[in-house]
Amino acid sequence: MTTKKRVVITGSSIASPLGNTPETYWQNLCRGHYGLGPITTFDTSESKTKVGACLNPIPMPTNLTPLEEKMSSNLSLLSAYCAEQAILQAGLDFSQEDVRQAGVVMGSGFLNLYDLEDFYQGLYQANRPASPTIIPLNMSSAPASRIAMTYGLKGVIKSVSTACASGFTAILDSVHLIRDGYQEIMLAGGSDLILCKTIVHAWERMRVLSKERENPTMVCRPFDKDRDGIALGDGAAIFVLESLEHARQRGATILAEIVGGFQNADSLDLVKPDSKGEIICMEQALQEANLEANAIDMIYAHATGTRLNDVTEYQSMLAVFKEQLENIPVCGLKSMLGHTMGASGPMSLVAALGTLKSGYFYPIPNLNRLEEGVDLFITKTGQTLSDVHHILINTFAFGGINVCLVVSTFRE
Amino acid sequence: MIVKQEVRSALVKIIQEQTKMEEAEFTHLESFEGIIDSLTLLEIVCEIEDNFDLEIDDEQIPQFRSFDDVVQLVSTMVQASP
Repeated sequence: MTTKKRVVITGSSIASPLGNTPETYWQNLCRGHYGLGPITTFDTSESKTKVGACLNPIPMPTNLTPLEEKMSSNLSLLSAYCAEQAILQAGLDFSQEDVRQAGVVMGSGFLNLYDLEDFYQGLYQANRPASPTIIPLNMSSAPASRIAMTYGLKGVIKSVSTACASGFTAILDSVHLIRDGYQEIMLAGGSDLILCKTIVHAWERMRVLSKERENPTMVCRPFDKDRDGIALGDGAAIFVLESLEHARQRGATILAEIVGGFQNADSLDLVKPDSKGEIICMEQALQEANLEANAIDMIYAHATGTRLNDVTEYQSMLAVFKEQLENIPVCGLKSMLGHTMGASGPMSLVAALGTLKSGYFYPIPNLNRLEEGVDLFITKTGQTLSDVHHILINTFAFGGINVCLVVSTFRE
Repeated sequence: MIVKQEVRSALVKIIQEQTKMEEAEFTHLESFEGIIDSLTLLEIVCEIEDNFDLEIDDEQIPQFRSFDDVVQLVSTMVQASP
């Protein structure tokens, strides 16, 4: 454990309204398709909010027995689907691996809300007795445990929750476990299912949702002068992370390298972001990556579409990148996918892998006029950039928790 | 005047409940800034909406600077409501 190991990505996966494979997802992002549409997960007749990014339906893993499926929550099944896809892409066969060196860290901002809401409705409205399975199915570590049990992994298995940064906390924790020699292979990512009645209504009352509640082309407008809030979405993305040595040993295809990352906290307010914390997080992520600010070729911004968050993020990026910021392409996904909470960082990472591979820089739909005083390099029509090697991805969560990652093309 | 007194009493209860502060701790504050955080203020707004059957616009929330401001604003809205 004396030498820090390099950590590479050898498998990726996604479950999103824009596709359930990284390839389809990437193509639809590049085409500017909307994942936002009418909410189908509950009856919205009494709800102001009619639009969200639903999975329609939740994709299912193919390698569970009917009993295992029955003993899994929706969130666990969604996570298991992504884990299966990532493992397939990585070409991993765990029967050939030392499973003590393989683990899972999953991040979710919320508990398994779909199932819990159903449970409470049954209990209080229909006096339906509680099933003993509610506890093991809905404990926050259930998705990680489901994945671990499916593949017999015996390393570090845990779930983390840091609101909208949960998926990135999971990935960063996994990077540290591999980098410091505790594990060789980690499955890491985020999943959240939030489009249930209670949560949508709570977000409404929090006055964070966009006032445009039906038209996807107006709902979420990151960095736009007229932006007025977020849209909500369901989704998940999981990656296979390995030490470079391990990936090489088994002849794996390396998709990218996670060269740096950092997590910190503002510790000021449960909901208001603070630029100082964000700046430190980005700077430390760059330092961990051993990169100067001018080495960053692109930024995937957190870009939620709220009045305060976007301006704060812009000020933070400006403080870190200074005059160079106007030359760094910036994009964000939430006008297409809504805010998927704990899955939002990992879903950006899947897109960033597409950018690293193709150099394609796509527009931010719904961004028509930049906020006054915000000067960002965005594209209206999409363009292919040459030499995209290093991408910074931001997640800035409620509770003042910040996680930034730097992902790079793999170079010997 | 009666409306304002009733509104005041109701608001004292709401703010006490949401902030866990004694009446004297918040009624004389010149500003809630730094004393009542944004999330608690939002809860207060929701409670006011529920109690008085009002809808408070996002743009009005910054006007909730002090207890007197809140009393004034809510009283006006209650009187104007049908």
